[in-house]
Amino acid sequence: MSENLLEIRNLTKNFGSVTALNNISLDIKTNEMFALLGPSGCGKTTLLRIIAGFEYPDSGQVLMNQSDLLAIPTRTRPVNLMFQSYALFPHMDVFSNISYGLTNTSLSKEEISKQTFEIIEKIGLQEHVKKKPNQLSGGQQQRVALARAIARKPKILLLDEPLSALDKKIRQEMQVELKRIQHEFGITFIIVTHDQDEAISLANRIAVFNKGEIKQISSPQELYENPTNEFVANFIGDGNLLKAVSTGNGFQHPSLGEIVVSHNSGSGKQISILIRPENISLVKASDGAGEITDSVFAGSRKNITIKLRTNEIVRVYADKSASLEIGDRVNLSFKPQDVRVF
Amino acid sequence: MVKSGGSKTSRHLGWAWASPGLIFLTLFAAIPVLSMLFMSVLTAGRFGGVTTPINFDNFSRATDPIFVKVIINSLLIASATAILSLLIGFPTALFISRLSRKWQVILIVAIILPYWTNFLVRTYAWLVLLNNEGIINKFLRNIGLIDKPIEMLYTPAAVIVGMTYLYLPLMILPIYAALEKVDKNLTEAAFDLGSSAWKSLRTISIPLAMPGILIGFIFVFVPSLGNFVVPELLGGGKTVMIGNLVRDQFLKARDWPFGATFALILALILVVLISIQSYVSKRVNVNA
Repeated sequence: MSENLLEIRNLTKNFGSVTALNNISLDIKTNEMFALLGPSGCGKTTLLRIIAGFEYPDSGQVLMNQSDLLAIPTRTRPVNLMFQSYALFPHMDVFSNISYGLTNTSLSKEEISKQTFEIIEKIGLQEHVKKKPNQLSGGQQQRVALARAIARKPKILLLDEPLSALDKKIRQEMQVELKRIQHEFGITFIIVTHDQDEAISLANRIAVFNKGEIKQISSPQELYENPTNEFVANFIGDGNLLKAVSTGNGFQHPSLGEIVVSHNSGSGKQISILIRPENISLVKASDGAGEITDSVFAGSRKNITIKLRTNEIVRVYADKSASLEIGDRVNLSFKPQDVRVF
Repeated sequence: MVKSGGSKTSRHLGWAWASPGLIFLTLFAAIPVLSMLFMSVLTAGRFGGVTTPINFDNFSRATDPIFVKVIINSLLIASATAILSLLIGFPTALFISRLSRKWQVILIVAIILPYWTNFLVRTYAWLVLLNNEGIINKFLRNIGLIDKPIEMLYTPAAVIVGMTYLYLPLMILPIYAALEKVDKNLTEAAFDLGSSAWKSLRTISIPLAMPGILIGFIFVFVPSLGNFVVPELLGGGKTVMIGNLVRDQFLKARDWPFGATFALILALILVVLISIQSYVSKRVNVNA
């Protein structure tokens, strides 16, 4: 997990007047599960297509093991892509789909067949070898797409929204499966997704994209706990972003009062503060800072919505046994170390 | 009871909806085919038309080697036309299908436009081109490549080229439609998995466009097989096809029953072909 497999240096790509990637730099380590996360149109798919070889950047470099990846033609790059739509060949059976990449090598027929069956067994598709893609369920189709993409033993497997087309139960199954296969085959995975849950559950490290730029690269936990900017704070997890004014040793919020938090924004500036819903506790008080406007039972907890006097909405996860009702006035309390300032 | 009554009404309604189509098909397909069948077993009248008695002589007459040769010749020329159209049409359709939406529309319109002009005019244009004093021969002579004109007109090749030109749009359009429907991700996946452009064409695009290719083939083969104008104008009467036989029997020999026999043979060949086409493309579709 130490050396860099892929180094992306100052990559820029424009489509006409639209900037898809704006001077992106990023390192991906060997055997990493790396996610490119961001809203649609943020440039993550363009980056994926550049690595796969379907697009060429306007400027910048992509190095694999210190040598120029962009100089290698698409068809011989040690990189394979698992398409979002799977792109299985509809007229070929499962075996032919999976062995397709191997037929483009100099391997003998026997060797191709042997290697294909090995993968089929590892991915658990033995019963479906002769079926056509349209005879398979969504989860099975994805397994075929995965098997086909790793058959050539690429150094990097690119996965475009790998779980988006699956229903919830199969998603969880596939999450486990993807991790197992990544581990077993020792391939570096780069996952492109707009779904933070997908990124958080699969990846070791995540690069959050917005408008062609990387906003933050770190582990899922770090992204959640210590977002470095407002975009990431808003994009990752449920959070409450409130407007406040900085003071010398904290900030002043019209409803919450003055809070002491260390920050380096200087005094008297408009700032945003982030507090996660699970870090707030509520105390009933007739002159409380906010009013409960909604309370939803969510199994292990209650999701409570509070409207502050400033009309800002705050979400809080409360204990399911808490006796809090819609219409109650409450005070909000939280630890200063759980507050992030931007 | 209510249920069966309801379905009966909807069945009646179905027939009502289908009736314009059924009437059209009866008038312009079933009746002509049946009358042709009937005519082929009658005797020729002295000045055209048909009389009794009923006999089957025409079918044995049609097996005369001269006529068999014409039928085989027609099949060969129509096949050559369809193959040449495919060889030109497939790359064209492939090229168009890979352009931007705007250019696809422009080129498709450009391909359809000449099809709307009179086909006699378009065939005469080839007379001007292929003639011994025509543009091609003159050009070749001027650049010194030949000193005697090449005999291009009044050959089977001229007929094939002329018909290919006439029917090429009928090949390009269905293939283009089929290729356009092939998911672009599939060809990208083929490249991603190490395919050459040729292999991805051979293993992905062509198999998936096969229904369109077959339709294009039939669309060109059918009118070529029955054509009698192009063989006459560009073949100069030396290249006789079934269509010429039918017309000559009706209009020159005034032997309507014998003409009807050839028309029937032509129709039979086409029925067999179209059955093969629909069988094959059904299989391709099941696979896809």
